[in-house]
Amino acid sequence: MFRRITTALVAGFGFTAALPAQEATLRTTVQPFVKKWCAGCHSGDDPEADLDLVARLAKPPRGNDLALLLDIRDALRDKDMPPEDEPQPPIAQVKEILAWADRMLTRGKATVDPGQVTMRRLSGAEYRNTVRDLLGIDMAEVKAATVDFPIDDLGYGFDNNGDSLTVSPLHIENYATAAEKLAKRAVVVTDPNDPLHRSFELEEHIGDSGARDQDGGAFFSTERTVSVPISLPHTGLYRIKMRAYSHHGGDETAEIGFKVDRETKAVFEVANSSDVPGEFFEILHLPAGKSTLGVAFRNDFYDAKASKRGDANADRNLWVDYLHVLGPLNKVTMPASHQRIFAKDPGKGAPRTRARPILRDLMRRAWRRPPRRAELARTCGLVQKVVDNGGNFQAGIQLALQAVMVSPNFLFRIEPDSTSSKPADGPELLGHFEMATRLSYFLWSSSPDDRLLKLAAEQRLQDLDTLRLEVIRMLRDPRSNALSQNFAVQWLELRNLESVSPDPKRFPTWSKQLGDSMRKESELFFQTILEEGRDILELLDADFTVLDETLAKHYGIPGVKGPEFRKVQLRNHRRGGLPTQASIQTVTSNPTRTSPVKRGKWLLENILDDPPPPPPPGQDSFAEKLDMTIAHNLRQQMEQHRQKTLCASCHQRMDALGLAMQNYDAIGRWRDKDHGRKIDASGKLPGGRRVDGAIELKRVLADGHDFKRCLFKKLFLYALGRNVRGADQVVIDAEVRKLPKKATLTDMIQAIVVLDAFRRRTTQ
Amino acid sequence: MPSAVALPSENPYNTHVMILRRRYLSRRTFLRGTGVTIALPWLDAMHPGLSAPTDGPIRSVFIYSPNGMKMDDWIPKKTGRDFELPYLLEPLAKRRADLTVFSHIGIDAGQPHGDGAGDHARAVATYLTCMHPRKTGGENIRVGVSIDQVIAQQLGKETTFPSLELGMDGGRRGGICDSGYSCAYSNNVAWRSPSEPVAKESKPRAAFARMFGESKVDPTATAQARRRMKSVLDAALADAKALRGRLGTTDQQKLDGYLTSVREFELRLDKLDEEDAKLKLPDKFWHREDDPQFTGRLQIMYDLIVLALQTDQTRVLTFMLGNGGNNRSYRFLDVPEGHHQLSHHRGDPKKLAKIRKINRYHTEQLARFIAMLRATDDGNSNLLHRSMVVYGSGLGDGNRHDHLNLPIILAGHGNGRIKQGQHLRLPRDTPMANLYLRMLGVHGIKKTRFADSTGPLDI
Repeated sequence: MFRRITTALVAGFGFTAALPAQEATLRTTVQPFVKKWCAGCHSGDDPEADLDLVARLAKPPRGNDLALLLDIRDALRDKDMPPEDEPQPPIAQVKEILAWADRMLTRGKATVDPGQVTMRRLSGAEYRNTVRDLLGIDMAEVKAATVDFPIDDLGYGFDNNGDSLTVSPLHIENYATAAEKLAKRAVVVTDPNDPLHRSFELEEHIGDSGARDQDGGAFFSTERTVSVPISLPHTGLYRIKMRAYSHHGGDETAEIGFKVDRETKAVFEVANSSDVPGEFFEILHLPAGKSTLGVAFRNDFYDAKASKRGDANADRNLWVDYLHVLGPLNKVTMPASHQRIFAKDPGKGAPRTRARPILRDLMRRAWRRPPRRAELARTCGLVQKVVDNGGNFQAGIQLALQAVMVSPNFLFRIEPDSTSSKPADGPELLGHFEMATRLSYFLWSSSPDDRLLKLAAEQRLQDLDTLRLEVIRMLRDPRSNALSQNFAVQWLELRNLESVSPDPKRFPTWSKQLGDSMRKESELFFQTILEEGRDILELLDADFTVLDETLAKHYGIPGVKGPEFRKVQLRNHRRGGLPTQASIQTVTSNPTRTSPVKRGKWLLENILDDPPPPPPPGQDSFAEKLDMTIAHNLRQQMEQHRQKTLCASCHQRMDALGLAMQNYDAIGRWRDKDHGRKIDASGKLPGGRRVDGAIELKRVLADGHDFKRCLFKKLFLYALGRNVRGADQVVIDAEVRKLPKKATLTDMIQAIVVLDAFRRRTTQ
Repeated sequence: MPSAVALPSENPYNTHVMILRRRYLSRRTFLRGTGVTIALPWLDAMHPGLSAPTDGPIRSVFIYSPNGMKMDDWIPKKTGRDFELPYLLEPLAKRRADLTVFSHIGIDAGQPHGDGAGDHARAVATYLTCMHPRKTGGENIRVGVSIDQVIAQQLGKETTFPSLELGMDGGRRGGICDSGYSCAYSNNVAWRSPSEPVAKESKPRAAFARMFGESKVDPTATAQARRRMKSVLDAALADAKALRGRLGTTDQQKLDGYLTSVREFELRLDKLDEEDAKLKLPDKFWHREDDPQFTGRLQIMYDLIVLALQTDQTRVLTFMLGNGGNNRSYRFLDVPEGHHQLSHHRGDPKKLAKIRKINRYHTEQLARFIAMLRATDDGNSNLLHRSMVVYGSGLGDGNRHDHLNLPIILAGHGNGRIKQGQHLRLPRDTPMANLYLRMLGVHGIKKTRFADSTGPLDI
């Protein structure tokens, strides 16, 4: 079967004309072969799979058309084509064609240009990681400041695609507001050792709490809480003070509960009567930033009968006048983010001059390159301006940081056209700082660390051995979790777990938490394969997986207790390997039932590097049309459709693959029966190979080049943020062949970072 | 007054919505009393940009409903003014005189034209552009400038936001959205240039905050923060200008998108300076997490649209009830299957019944929205009279992926310039662009063509 042929977008460079010998073989051998064995379907006005081989092979393929040769080679070698029920060409002739294709590919590979990557805006995930690493702020706080960022549109399945990362006013507003919040959080402006005094009149904060405005205070006749929002510049010890009285009632003294963010931190017994209100104070630890202080009446008492009798002891009430907060009282150390930024503070000089070393360092890290002289001067000017307007130096730096984070130099990964003339050895090599950035966003989804910036300054990041060693170092760093969280999760389409909605009637055990556990299993499984240097093929079939209690229960695997994920040795092959994970079974199902077509399509696109061509116009999502509620019907329906020649060539494969996973229900539980009937998970692949069930399927999937090439392509796409062109496929195919037999993810990543496509760019 | 609008009782957030209106919009004195003011244009004779109260600003709202419609329950049998309301339009009965139902209107650009499958992505991308999108999974995205943005580019200077984009879905989180089309196509109806979609806001709270500010800070502090923000943006603009010369052409275009967005934000800050202060948010609204219940969230979005129009935050708004091919399940309607999955009904009556439920539900919500517009005073008129609301889908029958017979209604009178109250059966294959061209005319924008238009609709 033929892969979808990527249309030519950018032609290869430097490819002038094919050698006469190649032309001759094309005319004497290839064209006659095509005419005899292929042209019956693949030529004319309406060729099969939209592929007119006669036209496409009228001249030697070049540039992106080289990918056609891969398709021809694979189809012939795997005996996908001609279809089994058609006459077959003699083996000797096939060999000749294969040899010709290989020669053409080898020659063609040398002519592939590195391609262009559109300037990439940081994706949401990249922005958050970058800020975390730049400022040293907790991820939770970074997320809080960026929670409203619009979701990035995907290109080719990934959110880091240059062309899809558009900018609109909504983005800019979000960036501007986030920068303001984050700069405030990172840089401390007020002197912490100069305590602040804040006072609140409680009656102004009654709102709809149920307390009453009385005598210039809040009067509580029932157990209510009056909340006061406060924003403190520093974490530290504060003195809180209140004035209060109570009406005595029952056996206890009225109590004030003092709460910080709903948690009671102090309790005061108020024995004072209304003629002598008392003052109550306590020293408490309060957090920096916004929090809510609460003043609550804790122990109401009311005896209706006694009250009717006029018993003075019948009703316990509380009155609180004000709340004063003073602090911080202790010596406060600056947060790490502040210390890091001011580490280079000379402590004296005119603001403009004093800011220079601070901002040079900050900008270098934020912009992933040293700032230019004019840029530095402009940013220092901002500091001066703040001070001229009566702010302090720290406020100036805070504003400068805000500006640095709204600058295009921060928000975009910029790869400027070099001003120097082209080097002699081919298209322009990327600058060393740009290399540092490509590496760090590929492996960490974040900015380069000090070591990468240092290597860039020393101009060492075009050295292939250095690159390979850096890959090893970077993959050992915890930041490389980004590869599983961003790359693997998107490759496997697992973010869709957030939006699936299995029917609760049919799948009562489904919950958001279960969905999260599913995603986590795949993520950690990928990470384990990466970290332990396991064979890439174990991604498809392994004897272990990573589970928490929720998922273990879902799978019916005993002995896993508690919410933490751990490696679990598996006893059989029903689980183990991505295709058998519930995450994948679930994202490829409909709310009420499984969808073998979606599953087959998912495997072809994400595992086998053989995305089916889109169905004919008006026929999209064939899967949906087969929405039969009863499973045996579904199979029959699918068989009927396969018989239509229009659908057969793709569905034969898609359906066989998808049906092999029928033992997993729409949320990935194992089942032997569906609607009372035994599951039939057998199917026949093109070429006659039979598969029955997922265990066999895993073996079929894991035996080859296809998966490695698929994974390589997806990594390439993710690393570069651009489409994989036909010409790139030729390079990728050759690179995959060069990998060791038991290749690891590290091997593959090392192969990518030394590629021309990664290290060079075609200038516009 | 808005507070008089009867809200359906199933809205779990009824109270909040009511509080919002009563306390903060309809009683201006109250607003003054708390030191909070927002511009209520038609009560405020001092409002800038006001010429004469009889000739108020015209608003346009474009609502996108995914996956097509059950057409036999949508298109009235009778034409002209004496048309009956089929099942799906029944909820709009009270506003029959304020709307037009079109038949035989379509968007040819949505058809494959050799690009094969991907009708859901094309349906969205063409809905307001009427241009054929380039088929790509990401590289070189290209369609056309959408009608709302054409209007915004002309009228946007008058208001805080040139346009607002809202939606119920954020974005699909994995894979390619529809048969080889980038998600940019199936997630965005608004396009400000052929290659730049305008991102939409899908969280009610964030949308509210964006319009009215989120803090309760005092006005001096706000003004100061705004000044700081402007100096930050100026620095960013200077950076961008310095950078521009060092980039290749594609990157320059992208940087230009950045520049325009920064400038637009700056302008908005300037406009904020002209106003007195920010709107104080009702605590309840503010402290509530974004609503997990679909109906609650949907109604709050509609409420926000009314609010945005009423307070003249913008005059052009797009609202996507779902992204293209949305597969939401409507369990509260007893429809556990996904919407997209169902839309491929193949004539199965059970499925058709479920689609009918979903379609009907959305017209009920639309009816509530239109009733609110009608009940909201706008100077000597009301918002419905001053607005044009386009509601519909880029697909007709979801099963056939029909782009030529779309379910489209136009509600509102465009300040009396639109003849309303009819079922208008147009000649076959009338381009949707003709409706848009007419709307441009109503807005006073002089254009003789929009996309594939052949002339303005006579309405």
